[in-house]
Amino acid sequence: MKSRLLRVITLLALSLSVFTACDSNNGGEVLPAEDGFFIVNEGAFNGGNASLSYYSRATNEVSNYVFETTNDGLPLGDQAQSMTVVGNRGYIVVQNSAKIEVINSETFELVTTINEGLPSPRYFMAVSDEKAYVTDWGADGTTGTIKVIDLIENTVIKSIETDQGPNEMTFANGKVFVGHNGGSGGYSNTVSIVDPETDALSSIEVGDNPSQLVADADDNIWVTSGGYTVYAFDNEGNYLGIDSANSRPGYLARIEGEQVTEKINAEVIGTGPGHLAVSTDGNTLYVGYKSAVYRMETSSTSFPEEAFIDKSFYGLGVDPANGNILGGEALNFSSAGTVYRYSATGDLIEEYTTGVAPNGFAF
Amino acid sequence: MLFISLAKVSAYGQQDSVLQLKEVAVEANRLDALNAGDKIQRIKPAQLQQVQHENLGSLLQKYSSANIRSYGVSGLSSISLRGGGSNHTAVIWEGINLQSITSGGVDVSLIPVEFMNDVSIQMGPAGALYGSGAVGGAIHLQSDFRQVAKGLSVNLKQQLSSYYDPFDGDQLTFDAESLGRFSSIQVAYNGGKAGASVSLFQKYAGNRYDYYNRYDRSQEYLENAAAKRGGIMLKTFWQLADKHRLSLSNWYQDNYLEVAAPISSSGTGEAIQEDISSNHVLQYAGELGNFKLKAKSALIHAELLYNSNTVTDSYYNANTFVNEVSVSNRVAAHSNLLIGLNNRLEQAENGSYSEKLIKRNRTALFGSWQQFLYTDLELLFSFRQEVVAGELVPFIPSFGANYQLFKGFQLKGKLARAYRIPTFNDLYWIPGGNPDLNPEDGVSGELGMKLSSSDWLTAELTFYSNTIENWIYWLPDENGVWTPVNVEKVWARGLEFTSSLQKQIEANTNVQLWLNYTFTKSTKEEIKEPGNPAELGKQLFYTPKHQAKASLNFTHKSFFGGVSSVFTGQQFRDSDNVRTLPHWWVTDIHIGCKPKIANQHMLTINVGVNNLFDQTYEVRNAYPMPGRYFDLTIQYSFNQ
Repeated sequence: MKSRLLRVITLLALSLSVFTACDSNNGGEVLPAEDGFFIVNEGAFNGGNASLSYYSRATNEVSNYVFETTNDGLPLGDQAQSMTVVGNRGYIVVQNSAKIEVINSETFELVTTINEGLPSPRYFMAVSDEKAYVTDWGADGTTGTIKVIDLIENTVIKSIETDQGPNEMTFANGKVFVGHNGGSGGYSNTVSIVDPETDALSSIEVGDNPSQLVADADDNIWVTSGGYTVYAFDNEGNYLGIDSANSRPGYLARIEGEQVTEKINAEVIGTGPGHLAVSTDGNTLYVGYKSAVYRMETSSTSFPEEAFIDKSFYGLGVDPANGNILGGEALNFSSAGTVYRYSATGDLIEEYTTGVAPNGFAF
Repeated sequence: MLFISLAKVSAYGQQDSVLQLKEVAVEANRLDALNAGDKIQRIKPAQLQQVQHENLGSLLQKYSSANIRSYGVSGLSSISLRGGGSNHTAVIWEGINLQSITSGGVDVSLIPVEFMNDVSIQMGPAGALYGSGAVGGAIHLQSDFRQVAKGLSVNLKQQLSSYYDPFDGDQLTFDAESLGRFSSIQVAYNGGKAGASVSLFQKYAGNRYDYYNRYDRSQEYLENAAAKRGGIMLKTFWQLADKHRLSLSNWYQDNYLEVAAPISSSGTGEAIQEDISSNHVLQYAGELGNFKLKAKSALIHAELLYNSNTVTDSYYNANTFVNEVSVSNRVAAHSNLLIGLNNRLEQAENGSYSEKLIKRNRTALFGSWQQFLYTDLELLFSFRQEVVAGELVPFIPSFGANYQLFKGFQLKGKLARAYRIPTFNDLYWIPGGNPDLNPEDGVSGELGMKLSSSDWLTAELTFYSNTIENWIYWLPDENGVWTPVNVEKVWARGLEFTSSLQKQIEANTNVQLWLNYTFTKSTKEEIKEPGNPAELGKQLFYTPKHQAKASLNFTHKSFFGGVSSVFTGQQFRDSDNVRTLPHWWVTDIHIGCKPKIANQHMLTINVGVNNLFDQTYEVRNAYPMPGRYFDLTIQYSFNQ
């Protein structure tokens, strides 16, 4: 009886939220981020010190370790990669613990744990009321799949084979776009396009190891890549530096429909663009590049000369409620990180101490 | 055998209290002779005997002031002395530093106590006499022949251990996987003029014990944690002439280890690691008139293969060739002079290095001047000047003094500089290696007092302060590439108290008590960019402020037994001191008997209960240690 009621509530909440999640690029929608947002603290690999923080707008303060303190000291696990809020559920993907912790996003209480059939999960996206996709690198780091989750039962019901290293996902034109950055030790040069109705997958060639992607106001997809770096050694095995003849630079590419229509290459091999976030109106991109954040319009065809924020971040996001730019700084992975909050014009508003290695935000 | 051991202990006690008798004897090493101002703890034979089937890490954790940081029961274990790290603690076997040229550390879980007949812990910097890396202290290991009985002697040992715990509702299983086994054979012949011995051991531990996984709130079995080790030690000596002795030690060991994942992770990596070491030392000690000569040549070989299904395999192969000569001379009735030259040629191959074969040549000139004044003051000045790859590293001086205030009470003091040169990983790792690193540079002072009543009591209290600048620390750079930098200054200070008592209660009953307490404060005093300023003034992680240890041993006729207990206070597991690892307190007991089966033939039977109170604890976060477990040892010895 109780569980049925819970399901109904979950369903109601989900239907509301999927709507907003998939249309979050359209300005003017009511956004589920009015009270605050989550900060995902990845923790150190094999350190068992991943954690969740919550920023409250009312108090302008960050509360750390909210998962642990709410749930009787249960540690979050090892290497929290991402979190997605769907309605009043928060899905925290904990990669090296091979699980997703599902919490109530208002009370932070644990609802359930999905820990079967997710060997190395990365990112989560709800595609309907009942269904979500989770990208997964596989136990060996290179067996790429998209796991299909039944959101009612909270179980993995299907596994879709993909290229190596399926990473971030974004939604545009009724399709899910997936970047493939090669996973751990692999290689890919494609972006997958998945039909969430049929789970049918096709892929387009974009360039070396496309990793992070966003959809802009025109439903175009922007994707970043660190490129492909080969190191040169002489016959004796001595290191000579980067083998520029066989290396390729990173890039920022635009996909319109299923075509790559723009590709802005990085100036230097080995330092390509990484983090990517889009403004609330969908017309401005924030790109982590050359140890700084660059701001560029979606009409740009080259990287700007000047950095927008002269700081390198481990996590980058835009607060949909006010357009603030959020940067997470990891420092050394053995002590607290910092989150910096900037106005849309790039002025630092405030900084907050977080858990270890803040790598992303969930609204 | 234990009585003989006790007799030896009191002999050492006497040596400590009679300063004038100490001089550089042919057999004595530098540690025994040149130690004014030092705090030195020698592991007692009864303690050594009790952990002979274990590794050096377990020995030091139980019976010394060292803090051992281990990744679980079979995982890598490193030593911390006086708040330093593994690469600040030299592990010196037969006078040769075993610290890895690639990482700077020593995995003490790979050193079998079985092969060592003398273990001493020297606290504080010992860089002047032992070189780079002896910052927090040095562990001295001897496998030599001096304690081997004349004639033929034999020792056979078999030990079994089980995690089956009838008091804990465990299921009884007797499969080969779950039963830990240790076997050893030692055969020696000491002919007086020459001798040889061979020791072999083999050890298997399945380490599949149950624990409560607090990350997923379930009772689980530890997976992928088995360890298989085997080794051989050959020792030979020739007394060439009355005062000329040549000795050779060869030690080969192979360790096949499953690398357990932390319980917070899914453990899908199933990593395995094979460590091979092959160490050889040839030594000459002789006297020519007033001159005492020592020479040694050594080869230290280490090889590691690491394989897991998530990362690419890694491999390294490192060789160090050491040659050292030293001369000491009693220049006057009350002064000794020592001067020596040490050369190390270090070579390593590692797939991640910038060159296929890295070579580094190090030469050091070192010396000591020891002066006895009146009958109650001993002064020692030592120095070292090292040239690393053609460049001078800082001059390392050290001053020590012992002053006997009254019979049985000594004051000690020491002021020394310490250093640590960067390792091959620090310099040559691709990507991130930093060829511009400076050596770590430290200054340390200590003051102590020692009470010794040779027949039954010793107590020693020491205060120290040790600052280390240019602390080498790996940090991610702007592009997220981890690279070592010299941005921090660390200040370690604290106090150490050690006491041992022994009492003969009746003719056949003897009791020995050993107590140890350490207070360690080791904090970051300076942090430059790109370090994290939030760590300023904070205690180094995995450095407990309080550690207390005790052991009690008794012998009664042919019976013996003991109890040992280790308390480690709460420690921080992150560098800004937000999260903690709870304190733990573990007690082991053992009891046994030594029936004499015939003249010179001895049998020893020993039963041990480890973690008697079945405590749940972790020495490193997310690496659970075993609960209560049992072991049985049967040993036969002839002429020992």
